Amino acid sequence: MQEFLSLLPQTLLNGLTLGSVYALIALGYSMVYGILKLLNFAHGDIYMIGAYLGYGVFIMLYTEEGALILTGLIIIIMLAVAMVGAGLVSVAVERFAYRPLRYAPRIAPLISALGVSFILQNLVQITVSPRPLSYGSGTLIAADANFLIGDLRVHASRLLVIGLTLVLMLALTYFVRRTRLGRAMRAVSTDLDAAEMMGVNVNQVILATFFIGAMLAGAAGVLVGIVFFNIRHTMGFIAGLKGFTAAVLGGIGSIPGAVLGGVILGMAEAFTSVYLSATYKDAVAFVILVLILLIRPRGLMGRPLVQKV
Amino acid sequence: MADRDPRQEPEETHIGSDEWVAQVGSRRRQRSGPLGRLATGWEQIPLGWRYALVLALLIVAPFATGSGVFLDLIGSSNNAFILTIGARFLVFALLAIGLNVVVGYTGLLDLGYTAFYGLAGYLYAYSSSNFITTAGGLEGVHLPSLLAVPLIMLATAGAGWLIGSVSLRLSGDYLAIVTLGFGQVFVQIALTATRVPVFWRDRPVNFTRGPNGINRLDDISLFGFTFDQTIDYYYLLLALLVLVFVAIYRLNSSRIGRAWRAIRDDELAAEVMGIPTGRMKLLAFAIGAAIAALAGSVDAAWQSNVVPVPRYSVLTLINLYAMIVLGGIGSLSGVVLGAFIFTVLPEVLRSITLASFFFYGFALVGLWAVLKARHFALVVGGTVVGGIVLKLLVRLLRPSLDSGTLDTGAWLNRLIQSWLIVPENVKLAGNIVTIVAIVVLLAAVLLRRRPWLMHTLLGVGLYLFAFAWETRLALEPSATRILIIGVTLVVLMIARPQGLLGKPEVRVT
Repeated sequence: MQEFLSLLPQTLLNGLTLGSVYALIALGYSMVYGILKLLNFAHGDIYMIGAYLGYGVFIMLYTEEGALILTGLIIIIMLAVAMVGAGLVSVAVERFAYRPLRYAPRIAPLISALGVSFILQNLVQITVSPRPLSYGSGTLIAADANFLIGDLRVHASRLLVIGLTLVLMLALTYFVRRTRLGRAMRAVSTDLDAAEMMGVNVNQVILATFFIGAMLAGAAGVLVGIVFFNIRHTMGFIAGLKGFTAAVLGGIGSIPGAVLGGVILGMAEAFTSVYLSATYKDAVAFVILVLILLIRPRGLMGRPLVQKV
Repeated sequence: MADRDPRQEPEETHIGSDEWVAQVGSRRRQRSGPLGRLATGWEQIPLGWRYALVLALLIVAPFATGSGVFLDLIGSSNNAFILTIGARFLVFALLAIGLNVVVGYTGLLDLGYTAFYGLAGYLYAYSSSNFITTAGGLEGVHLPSLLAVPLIMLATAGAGWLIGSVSLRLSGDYLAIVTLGFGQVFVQIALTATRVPVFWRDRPVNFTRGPNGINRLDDISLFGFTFDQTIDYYYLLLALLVLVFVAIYRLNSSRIGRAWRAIRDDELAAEVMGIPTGRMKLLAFAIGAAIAALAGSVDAAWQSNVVPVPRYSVLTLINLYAMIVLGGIGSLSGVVLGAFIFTVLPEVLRSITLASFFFYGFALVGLWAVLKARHFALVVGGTVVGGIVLKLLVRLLRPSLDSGTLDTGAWLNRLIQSWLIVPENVKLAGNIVTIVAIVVLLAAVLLRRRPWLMHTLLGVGLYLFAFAWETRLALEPSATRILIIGVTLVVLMIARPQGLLGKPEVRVT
């Protein structure tokens, strides 16, 4: 019991960090599904692209002589480049691989998405490197940059992850609830055909959805690089599976649900790693998914499906 | 890449609600050209003869590939490798037929299908190896194959029934996700169940040997004959494939098959018509699982081991889905064709020479398919001449730009390499050009309403792709072949969403 309590705060912090990353990836899945009912299996690779773009900026601005500019500024530029770059790649994917299939049988875009995932992964492997790359530990944020909250040591990079995730969530919520494009997005997700008849530019809304989802995933890629250092071209596969699991857990198509699902999944993994064994963490994640779906088939915050005849 | 948005193609308007009638124009167009004539000719052979022809080809294939002429051609001393690919194709064909029952006929998106394949593998390992040994002197379990394989099929079908009944209340994508979860849990258990505490022993038990898997399994033996060569398994699997093919073909044209397709097309209507939808779906799950079990146990016996990753992982699942969708979902011969393409193509692409022929062929055929004949001649001719002019100009004005060396591949590669400008830092240039070439090609697709610009971009893209291929892609065959498969999937889905042999979906709204 004593041991349980002493490990608890650190485990919660780990879970929250991991959960934030999952939530950022899950949002992209969830938003795209909400609008197109498409499981975008290439989304994990968009996150990988974000991590690699961040790495590109990193090695350009952080040379062997040290940082060329303030490290804080480097992180901001890395995030900006990764978000915009990932967004552009994702928009191109939508335009060329999904849009021609919008009226095809449901499984065709799914297979197209798998194809895109193969393409992105192997392009990076060929043109960048087949080996893992490292952001370097303690280069951007010093290894001893800890904050003490009570007895708990919180490293600045974790604070950055959780804080930035929070900011992005708030920005997204504002965007979806208060802006014109956000309203169009909600309209298209409720009924695509009706929205189109009401004069909503559906193609534009879909492109915006892909762009925003990819921006969040790109940010997640850079954040993962900063916290866990290593990136590689296959990282998108597992992360995509986890983000997807998180989106489904929370109720796919629901934005708060994706965040909730991400945090639950992150916590579950952190707790399993600490109190059970790290080898079981993936198994536990999927057992939780299956159990929750069997009890609540629409996920935790999903809307019940009404069958229309 | 034609934009298939029906709202932008006035010639494909929906006349009334019968799309089949409305699409007669596009069907006629598909029948033109040499490929269309070939397809028409093939269809004039009676159906039974067509199957017999393919079967005969598969039966004589090992003799043909074992002949001296063929072995000289591929520069190998025996055809063991080809036989391995052949047997692997047959395993995947069986799996694809089973998956097709669930996904293609009944329309249930089952993403946990590989779990049944894996479960059967492990059950075979338990029942036909020295794995289960006890202190009491039990030296492994060795059931006769004629007993083990049917039992495993029964048990796996039971597992399919069970998982089906648990997840039956879910529909569509949610079913997909839960079954994906089941599949993942299976792989994770296989990987981690190495120290499980049990009540009947004081020491934890190793159930799966984790990532190393279980090895040294017994070979299949029937009526005193032991299948211990790859060629034995090839013919065993071929016989099983024929059996399963005929059985599923008959089943699909029976009441049960009609019920499945009714459920796929409209579950509510099927239920109203009195079809026991729940039971029919469970039956599909169980039959799919049983076929997976057949493939899984014979496959485990052939390979003589079971290894959880990558054989039973999501990668295999993705491969299977690519096969059935590529071949045409719901079409039996289609999914077998898909399995063939997806086991043979990656092996062909392993060799730089063959991959180069495939790559340039793919590019030229692709251009030929989307362009008019004279535009095609213009683009290809322009690119060839432009490349030569560019090379001469660079040689005359700035010879330093063309100072690198490339020296790989067969005569085709050398020919093209001598046509390209090769800068000093080949690798860097190749990496950049690879990305640029893709951007140029995509831009050409976007600008298809402006013929001149598009044709210029296509020519430039062709040149850049040849450069990217010779400098980078051909040198990384393991990544490039997956890249090519990815591109094939996307292009094929856009050009023919129903797959090669599938029938276009008619949706009346």
